[in-house]
Amino acid sequence: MFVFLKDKSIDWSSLQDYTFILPAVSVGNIGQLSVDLLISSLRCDKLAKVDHPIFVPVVGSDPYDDIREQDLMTAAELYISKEKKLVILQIRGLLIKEFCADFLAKLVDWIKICSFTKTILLSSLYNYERVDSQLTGSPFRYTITSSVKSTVEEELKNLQWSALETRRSVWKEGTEEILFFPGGGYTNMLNKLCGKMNIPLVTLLIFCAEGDNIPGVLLITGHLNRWLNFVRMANDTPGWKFPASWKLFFGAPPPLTMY
Amino acid sequence: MELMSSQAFEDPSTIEEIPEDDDDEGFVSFDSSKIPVYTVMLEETTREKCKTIIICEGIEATDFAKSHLPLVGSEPIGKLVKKTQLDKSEVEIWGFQYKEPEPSWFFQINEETLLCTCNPTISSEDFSLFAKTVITSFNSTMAVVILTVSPITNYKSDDHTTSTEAPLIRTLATSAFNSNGFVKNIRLEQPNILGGLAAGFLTVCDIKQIPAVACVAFSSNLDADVVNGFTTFLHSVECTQQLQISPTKRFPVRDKCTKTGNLYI
Repeated sequence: MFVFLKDKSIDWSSLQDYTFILPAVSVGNIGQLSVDLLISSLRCDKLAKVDHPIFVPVVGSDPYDDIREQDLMTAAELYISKEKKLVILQIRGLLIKEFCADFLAKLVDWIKICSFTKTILLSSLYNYERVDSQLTGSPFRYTITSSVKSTVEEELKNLQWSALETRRSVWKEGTEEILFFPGGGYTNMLNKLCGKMNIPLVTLLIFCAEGDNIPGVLLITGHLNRWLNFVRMANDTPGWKFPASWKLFFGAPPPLTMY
Repeated sequence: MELMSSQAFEDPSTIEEIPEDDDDEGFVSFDSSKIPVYTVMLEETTREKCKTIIICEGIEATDFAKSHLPLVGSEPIGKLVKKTQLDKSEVEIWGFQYKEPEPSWFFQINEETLLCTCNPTISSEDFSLFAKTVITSFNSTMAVVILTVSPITNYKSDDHTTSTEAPLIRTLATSAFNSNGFVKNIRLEQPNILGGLAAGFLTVCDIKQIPAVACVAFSSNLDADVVNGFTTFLHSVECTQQLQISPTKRFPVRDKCTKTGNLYI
């Protein structure tokens, strides 16, 4: 599934004390934009390309540095920061639903082989699907799988983060409460799979809608940075470096001749 | 000789229980429950001799290739078809009948160069599968050149497109492709990206370390600027620089895409 770049081959077992971060392809592309911000700010190196039929292809020039690297950007790539002991998966295109189960199974098998200290999923949920208690306050939430270490759980509680509230199942009779991830892409599937495979997964989410979600991205990555201290703070604000691919989000400027 | 798409991926397993929050956010799906299969119908000897394949994505690029490239005859020498599980009952909706997907066609340019004109109605979920089928049907030592046209409004730049150069053409190449000065100078810059079949082919070639380059012309239609742009590009690439590209149309192009409806009957 992973195709190493030239001279970048590594032994997966050497990543044992690394943290793995991946995005969900979810509403507002929060996870993907957050990963973009991390890769750009931490100057991560591209390690490998991901070869799987799940990805709808998309290509381009290096989205983080037009000058440094001339390698072709593809739909899914793996990045590494040896300094911060971070491995990051970036997904840039849509996913083909029929291949999702196979992709997640292979991904989870790979996560098990690497034995990361932490696996963090960045995702988002439809803000119109909130229950009453979620309508006010911060839109930020987190969930953990049962195999997350108690020390990590304690860290998250000390940060005073809000855990994602459960809600009553609409489909099933009775009072069963479930975790509900509407608009989260494969968030639910991955959580269930990691739970089943005893992989400690921490999911960070925000409620949002389609549109300009840069504030939401800064919120979720700010929380992540407050926990793991990747990027240096300057006046209580992380020194984020926006990638080149974030230019002209909403198209080119209008022609001056029309005025 | 038929060559079917690789069975590298099996039919995906289905989850036993559909979760309550199951939605299509971030996903696309195949039309039917089975993964489609693409089949290349092209003589094996022709495929073995091929050293360069020019892929045309979209109506304008196909128009250019059929009208200006030195094809050996106007009839195709092979095709690539999609086999799907179709509902064979005829469905009449607004006077149209449900049809099987149209094939993509192979044409001969010379003994070592082929042209592939892609069906313009291929869906996004088929891009990778289509590209993989074509690439794996040929020698891994061949070069791939892709031509595509994108609407001018898709091009993102600090300056408005009215003040940019004409023709507005950009390139993207795999790491195995030996980019010369011309191709490097007009590399597609961020924040522009390329999707579609061109992206599918570049991705497959990049993974397989096959030299491939795509040229995208940003334009609203096939005009003289685009023809000049494609011609300049093809002459700058080593594997196609010897092609005798006609500045005027060689064969009349029948527009098969115009469909009539029954609105005014």
